[in-house]
Amino acid sequence: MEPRRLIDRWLEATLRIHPGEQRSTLLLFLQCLSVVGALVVARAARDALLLSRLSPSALPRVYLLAAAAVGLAGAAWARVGPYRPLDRIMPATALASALALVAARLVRGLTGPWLDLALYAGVEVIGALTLAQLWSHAAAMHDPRSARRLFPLIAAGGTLAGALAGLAVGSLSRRWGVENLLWLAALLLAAAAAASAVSAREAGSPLQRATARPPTSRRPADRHLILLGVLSAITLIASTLVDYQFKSAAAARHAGNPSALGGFLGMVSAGSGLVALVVQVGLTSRLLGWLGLAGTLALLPAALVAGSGAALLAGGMWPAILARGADQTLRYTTTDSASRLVLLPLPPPRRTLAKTLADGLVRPAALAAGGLILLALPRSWRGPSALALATLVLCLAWLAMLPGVHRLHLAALRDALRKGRAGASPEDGRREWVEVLRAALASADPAELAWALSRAREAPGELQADVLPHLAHPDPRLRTLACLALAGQDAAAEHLLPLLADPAPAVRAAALAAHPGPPVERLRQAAEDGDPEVRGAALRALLRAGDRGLAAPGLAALADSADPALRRQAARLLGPAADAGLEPLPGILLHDADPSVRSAALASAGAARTDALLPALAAALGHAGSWRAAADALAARGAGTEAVLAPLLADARERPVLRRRAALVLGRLATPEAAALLARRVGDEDEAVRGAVAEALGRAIQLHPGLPLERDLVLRVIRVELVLAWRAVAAAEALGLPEASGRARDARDGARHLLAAALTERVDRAVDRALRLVRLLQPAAELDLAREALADQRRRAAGVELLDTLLDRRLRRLLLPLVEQGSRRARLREVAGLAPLDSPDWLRELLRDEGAWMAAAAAWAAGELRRVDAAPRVAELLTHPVDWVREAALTALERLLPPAELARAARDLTADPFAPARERALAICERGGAVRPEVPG
Amino acid sequence: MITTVEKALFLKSVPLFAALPGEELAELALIAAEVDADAGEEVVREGEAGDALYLVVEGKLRVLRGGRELTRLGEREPFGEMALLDPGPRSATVRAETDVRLLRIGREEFEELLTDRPAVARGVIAVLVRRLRETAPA
Repeated sequence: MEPRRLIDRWLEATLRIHPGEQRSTLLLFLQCLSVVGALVVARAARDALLLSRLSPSALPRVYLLAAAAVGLAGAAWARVGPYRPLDRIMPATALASALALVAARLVRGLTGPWLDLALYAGVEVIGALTLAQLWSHAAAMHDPRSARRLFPLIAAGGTLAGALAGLAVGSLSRRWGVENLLWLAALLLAAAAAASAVSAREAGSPLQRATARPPTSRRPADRHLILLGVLSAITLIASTLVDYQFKSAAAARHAGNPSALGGFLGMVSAGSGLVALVVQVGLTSRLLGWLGLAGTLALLPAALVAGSGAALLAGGMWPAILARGADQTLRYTTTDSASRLVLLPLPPPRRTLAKTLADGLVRPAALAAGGLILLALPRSWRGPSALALATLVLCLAWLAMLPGVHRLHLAALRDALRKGRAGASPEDGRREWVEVLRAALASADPAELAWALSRAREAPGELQADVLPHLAHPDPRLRTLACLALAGQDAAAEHLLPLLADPAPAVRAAALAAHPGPPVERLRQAAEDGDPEVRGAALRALLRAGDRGLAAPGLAALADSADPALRRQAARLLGPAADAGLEPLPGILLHDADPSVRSAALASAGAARTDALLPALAAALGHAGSWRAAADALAARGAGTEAVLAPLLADARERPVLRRRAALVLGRLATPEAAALLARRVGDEDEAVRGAVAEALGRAIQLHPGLPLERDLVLRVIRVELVLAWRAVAAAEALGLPEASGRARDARDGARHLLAAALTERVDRAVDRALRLVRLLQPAAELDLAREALADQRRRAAGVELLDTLLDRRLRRLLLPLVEQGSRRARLREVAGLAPLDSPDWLRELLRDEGAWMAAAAAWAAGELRRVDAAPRVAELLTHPVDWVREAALTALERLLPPAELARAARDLTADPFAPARERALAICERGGAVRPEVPG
Repeated sequence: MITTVEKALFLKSVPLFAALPGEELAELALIAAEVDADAGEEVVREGEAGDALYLVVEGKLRVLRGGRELTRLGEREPFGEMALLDPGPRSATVRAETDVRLLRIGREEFEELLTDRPAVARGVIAVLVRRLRETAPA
C-alpha cells in the first residue's frame, strides 16, 4: 500500500482524522498553537512588567480596566464580526495585535506605568478576539460530528503551546530580559496570522460567521442559561482571586527583579501546560466516562478547595502555586470539555446565546466583579488567609450548584434526544444518556415510553431489566417496541416466547424477529399465519436458522401471491434467502410491477452478504422505474461491487444509459478500484458516458483525495475534450451559422439556429467535462465555482477571470478562448495551429456524429439548406436507433430526393415502431405512388 | 404535422425550457401534442385548475382577465407555464383570435418525464433559481 494511504489510515484509526481533513486540521492546530503560545508569552511578560512597577494592591483596578476593555472589544466584535468575512479579519486582527505588541516594546522605557496598564488590558483584548475568531472559523468549517472529533485535537495545540511557551518564557526571560518577550509574542501572532490566512483561503469562499447576531435581551432567559451563567461567574471570580493570590506571592518573592519574575511566571505556566497536555490527551475523556459530567466539573472546585484549605492551614508560596496550577490545568482541559458537553444538547440558538453571553458578558463581568470584591475588601482582609477563605467559600458554592446543573443537563439531553436534534448522541455522555433512558422507561407517558423503547436497543445489556416489564404492556405498540428492544439478547429468549402467540400480529412478528432462536414448530405455524408480517418474520427466522427446506415453500407462496403486501414480504426476504443459499431465488420480484415490491426487493438484495444477487442488481440499473433503488443498493454494498459494474462500464456495445448509471454507482463507491475503473473510461467514445465518468471520478476524488490517478492520461483526455469543443466552433464558423441565439425568420433560418445551438451545447459540455477533469488534478474549490459560474450569464465573466488565475499556461491557451466573449473568427485565430480544425465537409461529418441530437440537427439543416450532396449521409440515418433522428432524416430527404427515390427510401419506415415516422413514411409512399404495405397492429 | 425536431425548436423558445440540452428537448417534444383551436374558442378559462402548458405554433390569441384584454400572443409564445409545476387556478382566459395551432404539454405527462429524465428537472430548476436570484433583494 502507498505510504500516503498508510498515513491516511493511521490518522483515521488513531486520531479520527478522515482523509481530506488532514491539512485543514493541521492549519487550525497550528493557528491555535500560535495564538495560545503568544498569549502565554505576552501574559507572562505583561504580568512581570506590571508587578515590577506597581504594587500587587493595584491589581484589582487592573482587573477592572481589563474587564472594561474586554467587554468593549467583545461588544464591538459582536456588532461588526458577523458581517465581515473572517478570511480577512482573522489575519488582520492577529497582525494588528502583533504590531501593537511591537509598538509596546519599542515605546517601553519612554513612558510611565500607564503603558503597563494598557498592555495588561490590551493582551486580554487580543486573547479574547483572536480566540473568538479562531473558534468561529473552526465552527464554520465543521459540522457537529466532525467538530466533536476534531476540536479536541485542535485545542490540543493550545495546550501544547501552554507547556512549550511556558518553558520558553522561563529560560528566555533570564537571557533576554522580560520586556523582549514581547518580540516573541509578536512573532507568534504573525505566525497565527499566516496560518489563519492559509486556512481561510483553503476553506473556500469567504466565510460567513456560523452564527448570526445573538438573540436580544427581549428573549426571556431561562433557568438553564441563568444557572450556567451564575456558575460561570462564580468560577471566574474564584479564578480571579486565585490569580491575585498567586501574583501577589510571586511579586513578593521576586521583588525588584522583573526578569526573574517573568522566568518564574513562565516556569509555572510551563508546568501547568505540561500537566494540562497529559490530562487533555490521556485523561479527559476517561474522566468524563468514569465521573460523568457533574463529577468532571467538580474536579476544579475540589482542587481549589484543597488548595485553599492548605493555604489556610500552612500558608506559604506552594498553596498559591498549586491553586494557580490547578486552575490553569483543569480549567482548559476537563472543565472546558465538560462545559462544552453541557451546552451540546441545547438547540443551536440557545447554545449560541449561552456561548455569547459567557464570552461577551459573564467573563468580563466576573473579572470586574473579582476586582471590585478585592477593592471593597479592607486591606487587612487581602492577606493570603482571608483570600483563601473567600476562595474556599466560592468553591463550596460552586460545588453546591453542580447537582442542579446535572439535572438541567439531563432534561436538555432528554429533550434533544426526543426531538432527534443533531448534536445530542450517546457518545457525548453515555452514563447520562443511559440514566435518561432508564428514567423514561419508568414513565407512565406512552409517548415518552415509546421513544425510550425505540432507543433502548442502543444499550442492550444495560437496560434489559427496565425493558422486560413492558413485554406485558396493555398497548400492543409498546409490546412490539419492547420486543424489538430485546432483539438478539439470549437472556430475553424465555420472556419473548409467550409473545409468539400474542393476539396482536405486530407483536407476534416483533417477537419472532427478536427471539434468538424460536422453536421450529412455532416457526412452522407462524409461516402459515394469516398476517403477512408474521409470515415474513417467521420465514426470516427460518432462513436465519438455516432451515431452507421449510422456508422455501413459504417464500415461493408469498412471491407468487397476487397481493402486493405479500409479495413485499417476500421481497424483503430476498437478501436473507440468498445468504441462506436458497435456490431458486424469487428474482422476479426485482422486476415486479408494483414499485414498492421492486424497491423492497432491491434494498434487500443490496443488503445481502452474498454476491449471488449482484448481477441482478446491476441489470436493474437499466430499468427506468427501478434504477435509482438499484443504484442505492449497489452503493450501499460498498467495496466488492466494482466487479459486477466493471463489464457494464467497459462494454461500448452496452446501452449508454446503463453505462452512465454504472459510472454513477462507481463514483458513489469511491474505492480505489472504482476510481481505477472510472479512470480507464475517461476517454470513452460516448460523450455522455465520458461526462458521467468525469463527474463520478470527481466525486470519488473529493471523498478520498488520496485515490490514485494517472495524471498523463487525464491530461490527454482534457486535450481531447478541448479539441472536440474547438472543432464544434470551427464547424459553426465554416457553415456560417449564427453566433448569437435569436428568433429565426423562417424554416431555413430556424434550421441554422438549431444546428448552431447543438454545436454550442457540444462546446459547453466539452468545457464542463474538461474542467471536471482539471479538478481531479488540481483540487482547488474555486475551479468548481468557476465551472458553475460559466453557466450563468451574470457570473460568467467572473468565472472566466477565475479560470485565468487558476489554470496553467498550456490549458489556459486552449481553454480560455472557448469561454471568452468575442467573435468566433477571432477566437479561432488564437488557437490556430494548436489543434486540427479542418474537415473536408463539416455538415457530412456532423451527420455521422455519435450524438443523436447533433445528427438530427445536421439532418434538419441539410434538408432546409437543400444540401443534395449530403442526401446519402442523411439516408444512413433512416436506420438510426433513436426515433426522432429517423423522423428528422426522413423529413430532410423530402427536401433532397426526387419523389421516386424518396418513396423507395421511405418504404422501410412504413413499419417503424415510432408513429410520427411511420405516418410520414406512409404519407410519402402514398404520394409517391408506391404500393402501400400492410400497416402493423 | 410538425416533426419532433421542429417541436423541440419551438420548445426552446419557452423560457422554462431554455436551459435544456437538445436531447432533453426532444424527449419533451415527444410528449407535446398538437392541438388546434378555432377562432373564438377559449383555450383556457380564468379560474379553472391549470393542467397544461401551451405554445403557439400558428395563429394569434388574446389574453383576457375579467373581460379586459391584457395582451396578445403570437407565434412561439407560451402561456400557462406554471401549470406544469403547480395546479393553481388560471389567472386569465386565453381565447383564439384566429384559427390557431398549439403545442400542449400536460402536467401528468411532464411529471412522468421528470421522473425518467432528471436532466429535464435540473434544467427547469436552474431556470427557476435564476429567476429567483434576479428578483431576490440584494
